[in-house]
Amino acid sequence: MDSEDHKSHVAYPIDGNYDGGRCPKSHPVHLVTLFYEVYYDTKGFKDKWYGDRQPFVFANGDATGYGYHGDFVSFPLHLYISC
Amino acid sequence: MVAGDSLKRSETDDFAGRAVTHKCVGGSGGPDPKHLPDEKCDQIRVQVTVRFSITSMLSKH
Repeated sequence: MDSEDHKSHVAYPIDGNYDGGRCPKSHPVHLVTLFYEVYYDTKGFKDKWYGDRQPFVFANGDATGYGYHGDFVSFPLHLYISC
Repeated sequence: MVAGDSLKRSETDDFAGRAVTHKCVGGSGGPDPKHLPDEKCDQIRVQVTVRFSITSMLSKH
């Protein structure tokens, strides 16, 4: 299943927190919650900081970290729960 | 399906904004910021929560 913008067929909950809460009526089927942790080993760069800001940039050009995202392509179809 | 926004460069406090945090392992121990930490860390652990509901039941194919 997908939508044209690859986003609008899924939705966050309408209340609660980002990892809990009720489904909107437009998207009534709750899927499982996925939580990813990615470690970046930055210890070896502690003596390489420069200027007045943190020095790391993600490969998509994001130096803020706000642009971190997850692209999810496939999903086991039998794992859904009615909301 | 997508969680987060690769073009996002500013902070928002909505579900999508709160779904990404960066933990500074070995840092001063404050709350995990939504942006890359401003202090030196031994490791940066980026945490992404993908929680969503969909428009309808998935059909088998």
